[in-house]
Amino acid sequence: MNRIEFMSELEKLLQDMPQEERSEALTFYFDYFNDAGEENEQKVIAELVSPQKVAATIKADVKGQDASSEYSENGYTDTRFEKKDAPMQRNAGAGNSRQANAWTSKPLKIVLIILIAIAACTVVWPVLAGVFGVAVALLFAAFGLFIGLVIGSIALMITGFVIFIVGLTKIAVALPVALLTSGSGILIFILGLIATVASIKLCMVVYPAMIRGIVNLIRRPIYGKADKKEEG
Amino acid sequence: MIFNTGAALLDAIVLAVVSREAEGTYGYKITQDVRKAIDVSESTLYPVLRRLQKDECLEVYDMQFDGRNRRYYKVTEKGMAQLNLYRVEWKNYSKKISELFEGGDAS
Repeated sequence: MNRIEFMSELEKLLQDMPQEERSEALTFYFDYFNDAGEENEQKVIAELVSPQKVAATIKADVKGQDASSEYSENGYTDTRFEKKDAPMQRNAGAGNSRQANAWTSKPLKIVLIILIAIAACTVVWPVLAGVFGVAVALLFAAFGLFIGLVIGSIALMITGFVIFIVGLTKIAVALPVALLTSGSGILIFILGLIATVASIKLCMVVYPAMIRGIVNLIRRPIYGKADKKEEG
Repeated sequence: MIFNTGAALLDAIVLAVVSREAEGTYGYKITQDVRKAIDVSESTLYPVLRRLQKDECLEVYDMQFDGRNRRYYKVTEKGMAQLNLYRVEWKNYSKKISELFEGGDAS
């Protein structure tokens, strides 16, 4: 970067300032480069750091008369800029305190829930017990239904097998009847077999789903909804 | 330097530097002279000069030099009064600090 590039960049950056302030500042730095001489041009540019920094310094002072800037061994530091430089640190602090709040409020929540439960005892417990009883009954009914399907299918299979055997015993007496009986026996057996396999498959799908549903239902009031989301 | 230079002290230093030249002096020279005493970055001085100018402690005029206009700064009467105030304040302040450092009478 040379002085012409530096000055045109600075001019661009000062465009939102009042005309007078802008031309004063540009005149100063124009003179400054002239007086420093060509041999010092790069040194001056290096010491000014960047057009952005120069523009920020000019604007900061025009906006407000200050006690907010200091000149230290590191050169000029504007405390207003320093604050902007360290937002991470402050955010981290705020985050910590938020977390601390959350931790203190959780036991409080639990205590409140217990108090409400005690207060509601007299009315809620009988109703709750009734609802619970119905739910358990429905649950067992569902379990029973599917187990029933399996048992029914197995029974069908056994019946088919028995008919097949009975048919075979009739072979010597009346061949056509025996063939018909044992044939239908085999047919029933196969139907039973298919039904058994299908109903066991159905149970394998339905029972885990039911158990998962129940577990979630129980977990929810204890761990909150967040846990449920994580599982899904 | 390990001590910070506050805005008031920097004003005082700039006024003192400019006041040494009866006919006034220009931006680059002011910066170099100030930097002989304290370590400030080059971009620091313009806002200070501009502020002192607005407060009527400095006046500016343009003069031909080397075939171009050069802006000169000169301390006004108000500026001289301000500088004298700074001088007195600094004398008291530095004297007290020196006494403390050099183990003078604490009372």
